[in-house]
Amino acid sequence: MTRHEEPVRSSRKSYTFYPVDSPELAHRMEAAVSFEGFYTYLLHQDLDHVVPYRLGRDDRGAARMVGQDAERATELVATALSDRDWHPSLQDGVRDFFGTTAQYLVLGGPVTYEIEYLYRASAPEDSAPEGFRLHLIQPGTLGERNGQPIQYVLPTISSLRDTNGLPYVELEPSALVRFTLPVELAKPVTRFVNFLKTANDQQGSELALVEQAMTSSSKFSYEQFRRKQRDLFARVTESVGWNVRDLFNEGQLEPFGVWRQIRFLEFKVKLRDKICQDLNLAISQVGKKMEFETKLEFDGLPTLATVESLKNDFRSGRQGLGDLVMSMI
Amino acid sequence: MLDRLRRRVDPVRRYERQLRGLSDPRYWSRQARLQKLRRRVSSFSLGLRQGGDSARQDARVIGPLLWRVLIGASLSVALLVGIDACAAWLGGFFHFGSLFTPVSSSSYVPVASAGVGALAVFLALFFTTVGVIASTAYVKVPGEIRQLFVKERTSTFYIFTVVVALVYGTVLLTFPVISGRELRGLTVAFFWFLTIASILSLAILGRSLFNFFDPSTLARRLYPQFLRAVRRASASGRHVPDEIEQQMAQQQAARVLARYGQLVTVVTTREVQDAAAPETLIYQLITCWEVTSRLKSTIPTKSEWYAKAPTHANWLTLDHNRLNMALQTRTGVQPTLTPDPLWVERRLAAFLTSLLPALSADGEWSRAISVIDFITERIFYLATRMQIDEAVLLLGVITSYRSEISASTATPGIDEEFSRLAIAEREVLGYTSLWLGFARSLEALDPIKLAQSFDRAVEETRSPYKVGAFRTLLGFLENVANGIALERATEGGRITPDWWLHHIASRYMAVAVADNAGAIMSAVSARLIQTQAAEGAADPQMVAVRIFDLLELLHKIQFHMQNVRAAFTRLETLRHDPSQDELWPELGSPDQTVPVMEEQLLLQLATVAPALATTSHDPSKPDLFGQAYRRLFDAAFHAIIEGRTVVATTLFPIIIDVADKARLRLSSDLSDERLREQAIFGTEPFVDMMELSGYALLMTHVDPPGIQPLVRTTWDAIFSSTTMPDLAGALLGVLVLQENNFAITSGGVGRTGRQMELARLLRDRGIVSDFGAWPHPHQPTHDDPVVAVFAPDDMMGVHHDLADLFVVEYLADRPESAGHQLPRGADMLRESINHQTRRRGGTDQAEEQEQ
Repeated sequence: MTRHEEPVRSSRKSYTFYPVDSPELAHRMEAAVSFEGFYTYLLHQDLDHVVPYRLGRDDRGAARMVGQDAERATELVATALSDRDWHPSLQDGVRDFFGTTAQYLVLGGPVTYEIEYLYRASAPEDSAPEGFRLHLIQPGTLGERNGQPIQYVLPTISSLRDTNGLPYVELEPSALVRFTLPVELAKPVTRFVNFLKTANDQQGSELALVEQAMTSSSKFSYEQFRRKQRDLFARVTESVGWNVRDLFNEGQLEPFGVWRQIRFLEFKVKLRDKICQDLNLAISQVGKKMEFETKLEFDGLPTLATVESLKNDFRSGRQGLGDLVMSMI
Repeated sequence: MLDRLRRRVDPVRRYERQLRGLSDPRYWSRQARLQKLRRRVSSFSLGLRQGGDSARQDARVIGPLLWRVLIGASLSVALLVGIDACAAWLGGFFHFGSLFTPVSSSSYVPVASAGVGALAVFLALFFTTVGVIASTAYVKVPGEIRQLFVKERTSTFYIFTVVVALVYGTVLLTFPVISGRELRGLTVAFFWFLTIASILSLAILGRSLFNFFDPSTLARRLYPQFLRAVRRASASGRHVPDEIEQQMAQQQAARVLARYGQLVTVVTTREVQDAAAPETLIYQLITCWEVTSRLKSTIPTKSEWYAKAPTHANWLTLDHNRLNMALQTRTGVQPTLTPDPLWVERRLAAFLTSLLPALSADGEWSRAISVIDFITERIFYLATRMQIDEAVLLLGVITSYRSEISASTATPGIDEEFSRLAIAEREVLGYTSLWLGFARSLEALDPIKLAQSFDRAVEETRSPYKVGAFRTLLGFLENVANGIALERATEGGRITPDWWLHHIASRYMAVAVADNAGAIMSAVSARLIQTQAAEGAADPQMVAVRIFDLLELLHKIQFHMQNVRAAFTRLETLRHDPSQDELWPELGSPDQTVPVMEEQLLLQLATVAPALATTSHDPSKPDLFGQAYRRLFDAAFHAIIEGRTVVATTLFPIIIDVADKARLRLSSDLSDERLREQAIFGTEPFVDMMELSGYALLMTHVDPPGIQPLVRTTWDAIFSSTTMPDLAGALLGVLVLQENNFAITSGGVGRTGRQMELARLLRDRGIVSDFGAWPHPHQPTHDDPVVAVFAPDDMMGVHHDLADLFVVEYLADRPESAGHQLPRGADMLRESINHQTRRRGGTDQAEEQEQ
């Protein structure tokens, strides 16, 4: 069966939409996650590399399905993770899925996907699905009503209303899968992102202070301003090791910069492993329904053992800093 | 409640608040107010620490004087009450007339009144004297200097004693009236003791009264002030001075240097010059330089102590933040203010440059030479601290002085002439001192200790100032110490590994070693060698003296370069190989130009050597001619055997000419000796001429074409122009005499040494003879019979004298030699050559027959 050739029946309940003409929904969605803002956007871009772009394009790393039904499942998972406008590719699909999920997880918190099962239109109701997809429940639209999960939607989509008059649709709990940050990172990451949001608001404020200093007797010192910013950013980013694209590297030593890169790699590895773990739960859930047993694994990508080895090399000097950086790229 | 509390203590929340605060103009206003407050507090505490120095700078002279009077008065009253109480207590034990008992005021008032009056007159006279001198001798000096004079003179022991005695006397007269009590005899007697002490201190004052006219004595107060300022800027103790303290220290030092500048102007523009005043000032200024040098490694590199010069940013490599700021505000990028680490030294060098000529203005050359020797010693110590820029600046002072006296058009007297030579010599010695100091600093370099000191230097932010690092290394260690402090604050511990610190710090040292070695060589080349060449041979003696010292300097550079290389190699043990650091410097061969420079100097020496000739040696003067002759002979010998034809061609005719002049001078120098000594030593130059010619002829056989034609034309010219009746006979006679002389002369030892060098050179080129070669395999003889004869064997080296070769190849063939006995050595040599020629011919015939 090829895509779009035969009509299919979908189990999907959720919707993907732009919150036009619904200020309240727009507000909820924006409050849940926003990539707007200088620093959060930089982080958003860097998180896109939680799985490298080169995945599957050379012999330095690839995703593969393992297990007894790996061959059959590879195409199904590739289709499930790939954009439906493109030819399914496990490598590209995995890379995009992990990048997007990592961005939402770090900048917005836990992420929920709905498993959409696809059936032939002509197939009987109790037949097994032919395929599946994963759909992101847009952050900020997920809610709960009487213990049941719901998604807030545009008024034009549903006639159901909650007590506040907000339109919603009911979701099937068994079709939802939740992706979360590793437990030990959840709090530090939330605090770190909140700090970045504050920094977004303050970004460019020094321009006004400089202008003010030029026209009045203001005692603004750009050097001091930068130094303070550097100290604050260095403290706050410690939990994830992000170097803010070296924007605040004055007075930092070269080894410190490399150490931070190792730490950020460690963060990305933990994040990738957790997403992989949650995705494998979803695949397992789908497998039960579609009768396959498989799971996703990565070959050749850095692991926590790699990170530990890099840390040891850093401390012992077995490799130079340049080589350490190269081995992380 | 708990959540709210948690949110309050959440450090990230606090950081957010702080980040928001940074964008608030009120935060910066608060910071400014705080800084202002700190400045005031710091200023106040500094003011207290330096005993109100800064306040007194601005106050009038009367201020401190009144202050002293008040102190004196209080002291006097306290003294009087104390002594009276003491006398009352002693009265309980002792009885001596009315010494410990109350006496009537009427018994001492007339005499005490007279004493007080006399003391008042003393004081008035002193101030009148000071006032008169200030308004006459110091009428044309800046106000600050006059103020310094008055302050200096009003702070003497004499003034203090007189004031105390005067006030004591006054209290003695008024106390009974006010208190209604009678004082004891001891109290009255103490007044007379004070009065006598005042009179005696007047005598001490009178001795130094004439110092009042010497402005250099005013500088005595300046040096302690300068020392305090440098110490204040230094972080050698527990306290690292903050920005405000650094600024104040810099201002104080700048003020002191300005006063020094004014004193230098006063001293150098006086109508009557004497050497004592400039000498005093010079020693003080050099001491200021020394203290700055010693404490330099303890002053933060970005300290406000250093004057600042703007450094403009490169827009093409600008960081995002500054570029963005400039583009957004449509402004330029503010230049960074870079510290000028030599601001003190530059000023001191300028003062010294002005003062040195004043030192020798009245012919006090010995003082000038002593001062320059002192400066040379300082240069050594500067170099041991790797303060090469500073040392070169100080050398510039000597160079400037030397240029000035060299350019002097006045006809010098004998003393002045020698002093000029001595100073010219010391200019080169300064560079020698610089090089030796630099090499010394590297001698004891131990990588293990070095690594330990690097570790110690980054333990805390104030640690870099405790290890005596030179400027660039200090800057790096400061960055590392601050970077590690940041790491501790953010990561909870040090991140930067030891290996990186050791690698980069030793790289800084390696760069400094390579750069400094190169800089010293460049300075020697540009400031000495090239200057020497440009100045020409106007003053042959000066040129010769400088060339001798330069040759010594170049030799020392080559000799100690091995220390530098060894240190560089030791530094490489701290290099982190896995880093493959392409910024690690190469030492290269800074001394590779030394042979060229030596050659250049020797050629220049050759041009002036004939002009140095004297009719006899004067032991009271350096023997420049003799030294030049020996040096040039040695240079010519090496040029000939090493095949440096250009140098040999230039030197050979000159050395033959100079040798003849040496022979003439020896005949005068040895006129008082016995005939045998005259014959042995007086003929040495003849032997030298023939020996050198022999070497030239031999090397023509070894490395044709050589300079054989030049040798022949030179001797032809000598024979055609000589006034000696029988030159050939004399030359042959000298060789016969030397053959029969068993005394080991200096010339003979030198000739043996040269023969050994020749043997080494020939062996290195594979030219050896068979004699004594067993059990080594047979060596083929050289094609050239002459070379074959001179080919060294394993036991005896070269068997023939080179002078004999000259006889065989040139002298014996001259018609003037007919009828003269040839030396036995020459006969034997000729026989050996003929034998080799025959042998060679026989070998050739045998080879032809075989073919």
